[in-house]
Amino acid sequence: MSGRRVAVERRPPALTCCFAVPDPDPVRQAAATALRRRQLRTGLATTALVAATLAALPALTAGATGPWTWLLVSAGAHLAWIVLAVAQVRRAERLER
Amino acid sequence: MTVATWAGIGSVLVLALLLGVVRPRRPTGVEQFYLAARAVPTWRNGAAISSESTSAATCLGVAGLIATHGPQMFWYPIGAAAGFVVLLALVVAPLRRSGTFTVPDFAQWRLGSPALRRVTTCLVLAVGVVYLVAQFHAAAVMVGLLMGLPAWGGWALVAGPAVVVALAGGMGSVTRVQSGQFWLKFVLFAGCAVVLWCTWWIAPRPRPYRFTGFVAPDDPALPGIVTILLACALGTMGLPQVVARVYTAPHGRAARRSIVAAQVLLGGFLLLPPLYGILGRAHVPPEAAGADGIVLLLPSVMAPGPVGDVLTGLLAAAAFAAFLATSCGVLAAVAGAVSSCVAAPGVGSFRAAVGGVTVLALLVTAATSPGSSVVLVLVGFSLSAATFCPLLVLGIWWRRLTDVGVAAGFVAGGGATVLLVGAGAVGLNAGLATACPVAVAVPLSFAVMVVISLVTPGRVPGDAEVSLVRMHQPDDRSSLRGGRSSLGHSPYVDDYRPLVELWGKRVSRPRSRP
Repeated sequence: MSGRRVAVERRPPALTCCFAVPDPDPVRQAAATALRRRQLRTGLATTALVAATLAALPALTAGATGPWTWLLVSAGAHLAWIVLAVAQVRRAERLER
Repeated sequence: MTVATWAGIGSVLVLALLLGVVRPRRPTGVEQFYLAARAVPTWRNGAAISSESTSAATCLGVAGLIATHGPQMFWYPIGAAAGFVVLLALVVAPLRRSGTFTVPDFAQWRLGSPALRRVTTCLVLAVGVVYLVAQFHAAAVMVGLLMGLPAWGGWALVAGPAVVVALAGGMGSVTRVQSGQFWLKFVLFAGCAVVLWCTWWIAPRPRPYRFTGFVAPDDPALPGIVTILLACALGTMGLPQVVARVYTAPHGRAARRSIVAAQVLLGGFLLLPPLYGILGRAHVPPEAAGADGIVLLLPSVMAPGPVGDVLTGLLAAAAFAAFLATSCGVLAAVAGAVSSCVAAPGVGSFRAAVGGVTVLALLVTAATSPGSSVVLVLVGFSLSAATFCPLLVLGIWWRRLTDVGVAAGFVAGGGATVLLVGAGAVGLNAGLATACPVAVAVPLSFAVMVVISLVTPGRVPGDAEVSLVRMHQPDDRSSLRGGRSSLGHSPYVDDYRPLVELWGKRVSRPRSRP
């Protein structure tokens, strides 16, 4: 074995985990990427609605002085989560049809 | 009261053993043992997820905190339930379609780093142990309060049956126990709440001990409240025991629907702790018991005599079902992650990991003093939010994520959480940062993961795009036949049809991991 060292111009490829990477069909790759973007938009929209609801809840209870108001807000929040979850599933399944 | 409590706890134990140990068929394979054969029906999975989430902290802790601290504590269950919507929107279906079977497995499959898998396993173990310690301490409070037993009696009453169920049939047994006990908890907590509220309305009403304090939060507290809500939401979406349930669904669509089912069931259940909190605030002086004990004292305070004893026994049974169901689920999720990391996945290694995790949790329980279960669970939530949440979100949606970036994010987010929790524990006050470490740790973790990934582009796995395609393709084009581990020695079935269809050419078989 020679003791001479040579400079490596390019670092070796990263350790991949499972697959050898095929050359993708550009049309199918574009379709897959477009689907992923639509899924991401739908997911982010739902997340934004959750964040907006979370931010609005303390303001909704600003005038609450009794336990009943808090119970109502609590029930309303859980109902909102259920509605958002059902809407998210319906949108996601429609996207994937 | 002691007889009723023993009877209630005994009934729950018998039911758990019937559901978990006396099972219709023995687990025949690793996948059946780790993931209940990925064949859990939607509503059963939803009930199990709900059971996982309604732990001691929810059933006793939140109600106790509402009773002692007032309405600000209403936010905890609302925030935790919001986490399931975010989980559903960003994580559930892609994670299930990845075909992996634990969070560390996902980390290695997506980023190709065995070292990252080991780090993730350590974090899963840490979060799981915190959760188990919260259950054990709450059980010790309950048996001490109602039965006069020493603390170790409570630990043993929960740890023993949980280990037996997890050893007997793995995730399949745990799923049956959790789903069965969810309905038991629901019926008992709801029934006792109805009786106690009727007692309050119908019986000659003594002047309430305290029915004030339900005032609006001050404006300066609002950022803190929103932060608590976000902490609960992000923490929930990263909890390993919740994520593990996603893998037990047959496919991505079923996994999504399981979360919706859990959302519906949780929406009903999580209305109950506030009902108990209001009763506790009105009738039980805060010095009578710690936060976790107030719910258990309510019947004897409001309806002294035989009726109160029976109600106490029923509430003790429901609380015990909560301890047991959560402990079983955490044990199965953590043991699955640990065993598949340190050895070949198998029934033997799973059982050994169940034993090891239990012993570790008992040692930590013995070395710590019992505090509020909610505080401990919030620590677990914070750690999970600062580590697993960014890993899952970025790993599922961002192609350029690297293993080095994730490791750096873990160090930054997890380290910040530990430091801030520690600072809060020794009395240092850094405002919102120590009151709610998630406010600092989660953005920090996301930012570090993104920045370090961007500066290490050479570490982006060569098959990142293929992994993303696999996760985001609809189920009829993606794998429906089961999971695939990133481990070379995984016994799971591989299914490369979707990739063949997608790319129009055959993809090479995976190579074994070194």
